[in-house]
Amino acid sequence: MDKHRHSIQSYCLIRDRTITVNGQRYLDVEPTAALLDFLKTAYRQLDIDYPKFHKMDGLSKAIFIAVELIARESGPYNDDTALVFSNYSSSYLADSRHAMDIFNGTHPMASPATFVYTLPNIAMGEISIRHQLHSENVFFIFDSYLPEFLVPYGTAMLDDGKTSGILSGWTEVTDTRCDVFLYHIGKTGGMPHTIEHLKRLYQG
Amino acid sequence: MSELTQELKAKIITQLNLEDLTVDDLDDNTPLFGDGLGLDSIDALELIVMLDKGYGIKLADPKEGRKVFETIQTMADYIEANRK
Repeated sequence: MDKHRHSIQSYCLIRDRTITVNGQRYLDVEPTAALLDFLKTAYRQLDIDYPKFHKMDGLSKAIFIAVELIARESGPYNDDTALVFSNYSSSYLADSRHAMDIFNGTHPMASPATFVYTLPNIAMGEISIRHQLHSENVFFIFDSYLPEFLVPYGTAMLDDGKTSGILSGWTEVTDTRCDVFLYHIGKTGGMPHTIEHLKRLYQG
Repeated sequence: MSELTQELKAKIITQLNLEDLTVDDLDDNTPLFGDGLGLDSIDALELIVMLDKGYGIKLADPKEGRKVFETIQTMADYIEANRK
């Protein structure tokens, strides 16, 4: 297999309270800042008006910001750009909040404002709406970031002609930890789409 | 009335999980749906429940809701006129 057949056009890493895009520092806040405050600061720095952002859970917000920043480097995305995301905790952050609302009696009845985000693929839906994507999408649950799976999977999709580009990566968000590494794969230019290279980029 | 609009803003932020926003971020005349606050049909259900539980007002006609939920101000006007 030709390991360099496809390329990483650009990538974004959101780790703890720092955001980098293609290796360049975009935002850096106090490590003790609350996750949602950090994501709100990042949103405001984007200088866009997208009120729906304020309704999203932490997972969706982090993915939204990463995809937006990548779009500024290598977008706009083709409408067949596929989404191949993965994480460990699924949408646990929103799930646990929804459960606690019920157990504590805050919302004894199911509250749509919370439970609509109790699925990880809601984040992909939000991205598809925002960027007008009509494409394949899948959200894998892994024990850890797994380029050994993502690279051949993405390569097969591109080789089969299912898509002209892919947004892929690892999107782990809990109430204290944010570890989001997303990248845009295309057929030309950029960095080699290989397991080794993605491991290196993920290290930051 | 101003007290009611402030109360509504706080309730909307809590009920609709808009925790990034504060009462000061919301204007009395900002459209709640579409390009304004960006609420959707699921939020409309929450607002209907809020009117019922908070102010004893049941919206029977869905067409009525469109006007009632246009802005914070139209909601407050409707509550003032119909609360029990």
